[in-house]
Amino acid sequence: MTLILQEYRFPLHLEPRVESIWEVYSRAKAERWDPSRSVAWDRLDAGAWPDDAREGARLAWSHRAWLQFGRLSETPSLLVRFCLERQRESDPKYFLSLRGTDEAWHLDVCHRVAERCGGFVAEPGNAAYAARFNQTLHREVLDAALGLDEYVGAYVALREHLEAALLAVARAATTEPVLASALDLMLRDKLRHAQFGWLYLAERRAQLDDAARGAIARRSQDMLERFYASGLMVPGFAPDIAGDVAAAQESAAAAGLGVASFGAQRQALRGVLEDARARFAALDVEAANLRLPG
Amino acid sequence: MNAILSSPAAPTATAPLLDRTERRFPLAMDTAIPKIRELYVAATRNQWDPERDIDWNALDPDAIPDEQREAARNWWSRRGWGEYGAISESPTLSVRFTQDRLPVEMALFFALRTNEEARHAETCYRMAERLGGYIPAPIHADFTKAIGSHGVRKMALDPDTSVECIIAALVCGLEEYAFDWFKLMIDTTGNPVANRALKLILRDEVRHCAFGWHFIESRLPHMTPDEIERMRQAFIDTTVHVELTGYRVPWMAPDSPMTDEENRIDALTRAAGLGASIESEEKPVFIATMRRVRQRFADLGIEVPLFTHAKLGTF
Repeated sequence: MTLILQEYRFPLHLEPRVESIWEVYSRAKAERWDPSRSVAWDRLDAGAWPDDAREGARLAWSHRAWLQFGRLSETPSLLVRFCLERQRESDPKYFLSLRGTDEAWHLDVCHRVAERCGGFVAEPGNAAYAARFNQTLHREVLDAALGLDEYVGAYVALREHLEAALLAVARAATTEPVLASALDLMLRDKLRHAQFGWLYLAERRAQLDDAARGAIARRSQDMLERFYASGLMVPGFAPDIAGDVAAAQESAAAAGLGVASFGAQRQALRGVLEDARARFAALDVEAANLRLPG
Repeated sequence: MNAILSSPAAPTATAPLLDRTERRFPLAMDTAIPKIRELYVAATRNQWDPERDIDWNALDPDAIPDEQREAARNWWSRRGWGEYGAISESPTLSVRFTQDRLPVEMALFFALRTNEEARHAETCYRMAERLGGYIPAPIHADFTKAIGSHGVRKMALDPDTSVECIIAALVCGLEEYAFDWFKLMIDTTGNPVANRALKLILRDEVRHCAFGWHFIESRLPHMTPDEIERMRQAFIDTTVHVELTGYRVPWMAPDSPMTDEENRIDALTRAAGLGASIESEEKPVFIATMRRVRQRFADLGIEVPLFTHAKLGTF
């Protein structure tokens, strides 16, 4: 039985307290966009692409949407968790309320692209792969038995950091201008999401004891297993059950349609994980043993 | 009914929905409730920024008599406390929508709605600051009970409470009452900065109210008579036990030194044209709101009874 914390609302802090995060929040408000208007959808001519490239993009962007859907429950849960913790700062709450809108728009964009490529694919072809998407992160976020700071370390700072790297390498590989513009918007948001995670972890540094630091390291490796070794984020890591999606990504990548090749993704992840280890080390979190698959 | 358990470390509560296994696929992304999809699009197009879209410098606190300024500072702080509930509680509805596999536009819209509520809280905070400083807690402990919670988080995480019941109570009830209240305040708030703040908030609230009715209307053809009756009762219970006990305005709460003080604050704020409403002006508005909401439910074939309140009579 999952238990959640009981709220003690007062004194209720609505004032900014963490200047760095308030700045990220302010910047996020200024950088609002609109999936229906900020991307020139009428110029996206998927019919002009070779069939295999179009089908590859269709499945690759559908895969992106499958992943993004989980955020619709995870981010609200994270916001509520911050509110349930006693006397946490207001800045993360404001920021997370915005992060939720970013993620709604990202899902919207992914769905639009898939539709224009021939139709959104509603589920993975492999049932075992599909089951891996049922991560129930909203439960872990709210679970009073699990610490919030360890979640931020593993699932906000590190996970967003890796996802930003994947979006960046996808953007670098994208030659189709409409998709490039969409990825530019998504990447700009995602970089803020990662920045928030590291900033907040740094803010909490003084409160992190050895147990918390150990938990961050453990949950970070757990996250890498669940989201990367499993093939969830990068299907190329699980060709046995996600080979169709991996192949789709290769086809789309070769045509510059919003995805990077498996090789490019793996290289990007290795580089950013090295960076993340250094960031964790600066926070006295032992992360030298963090490993990606392959 | 959730049980409240306690531990030496921190009091906790059960949340049965969280123990349900997630089932993400098949993922339905097509629009099932077009009117709610339209609300999501409209919300995206009507974003605003409390920092940049309100000319805070135009509010000169030194030009306001001290007693009125202090009252308005209290009032806007209280408004911030109220808006915060939509940040700390209502986001769990997004969890409920996704786990119940309701149309995706509901969660998409609610993501925008959560941000709007955060904007409202930020706006109220900025107003209070401008007027002398945000106040982070009520002076009277009793007041915290009235404004502490409308119980949405608990209901959202309880699979035995239907989403229809929650929406009927929260949106078709509480949000509708607040909507007409905001309209009244816009008519009576002469200070341009305060008026601007209220107008921007109201513009968002239009969509929040519409969401509730669009959802209920989409669900009714699929509900059994028992389910409709439970939903009707949830609306009634929330009106009686939350709204009519002073959740939104102190004059609806039983008289006490605390409510006297809050009413005094409201009157001073109202007199200064800085927001708030007073009992004498709001009574007919609230009764008209109830008439309107009752008719809206009647149009859906749902009868809402008359209510009774010591200061409103039977209405």
